[in-house]
Amino acid sequence: MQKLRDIVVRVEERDDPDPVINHSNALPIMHEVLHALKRLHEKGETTSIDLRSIPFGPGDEEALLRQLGCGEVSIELQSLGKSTICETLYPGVWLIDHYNAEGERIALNIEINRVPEIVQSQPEDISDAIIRLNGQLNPENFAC
Amino acid sequence: MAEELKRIGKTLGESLRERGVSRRGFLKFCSATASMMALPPAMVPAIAASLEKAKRPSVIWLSFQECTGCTESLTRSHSPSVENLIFDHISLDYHHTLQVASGAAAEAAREAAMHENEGKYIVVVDGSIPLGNPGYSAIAGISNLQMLEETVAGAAAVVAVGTCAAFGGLPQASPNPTGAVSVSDIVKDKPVVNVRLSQQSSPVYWPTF
Ligand code: SF4
Repeated sequence: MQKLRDIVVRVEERDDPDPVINHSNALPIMHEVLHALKRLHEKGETTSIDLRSIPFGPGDEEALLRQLGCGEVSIELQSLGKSTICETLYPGVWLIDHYNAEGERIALNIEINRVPEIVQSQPEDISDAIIRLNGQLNPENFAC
Repeated sequence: MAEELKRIGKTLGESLRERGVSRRGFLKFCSATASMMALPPAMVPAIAASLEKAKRPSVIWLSFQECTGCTESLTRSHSPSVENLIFDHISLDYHHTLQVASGAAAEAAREAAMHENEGKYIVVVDGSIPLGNPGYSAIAGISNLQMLEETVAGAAAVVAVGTCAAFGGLPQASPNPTGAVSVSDIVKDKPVVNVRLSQQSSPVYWPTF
């Protein structure tokens, strides 16, 4: 079945000295990111923005991603399909791109956080790791 | 069977971890679910918390005037996904296309599930309901309307999957020879969740449950 994204959209070329300023929905998102970054810095408050819920026009998303760029950290997560996570050119602003096992994008978020929530080791997984490690190092305690 | 019984008392979170889904994978699934259902990302922790604690619900699936496309979509998830692990987690107590029993034995399973889970079970409907003549569509001699009314009476909620159940769909198209109506045209006293997409929408079903 043809998907929406398979329908070719042609973007008219134009003089584009600053792609963010010239594209309709990228600019307000950058402002939202700026305010969220201030809140993170001042109050430790984290924010997540779902880019798939924003009505981008042709070229908007690309312009936004170009403006955010890729910074010092990039992480690949392999859990129920691949996810790529990178810190943008603005420390504290992360781009999180989730795919399912079939390689289809299932979420694209900007997270304003010191480290994205999903990157941190989760308490449930840590407790599972303790059990497994203990089982390997002290097998006699686990024999039943 | 013993394995099955052991799983009954477990929460979805416990069941998923047991099946090798990490908490990270679960959070990723919740993020995608929030995005798919157009919920704000701030809802992800709440979705994760409530799915985590969800106990194994009893689900009674009623198929009326339908093409089996909705059922096909639910059984055709691709490689291991949280969606089909959640499918394993629910107790699908009646589904006349998927279950082995038929006729009186199948109807007995439906009645037992209704009786044992009074007020707590979920009814899923695919297909529209013909009001023109009870004989247009019946299961084990029970008309679709009668089966819907008696099954929904003790349910916690109803999920209408596919455009046929949610809006009447193809059977309701003019001249609507069977007098087809949607679930929400009949069920007025229970929460009805319309999952209107068909065939492609299986990822949406499971978080809805
Ligand atoms: S909603 Fe679509 S797939 Fe489901 S029963 Fe109707 S026509 Fe078939």
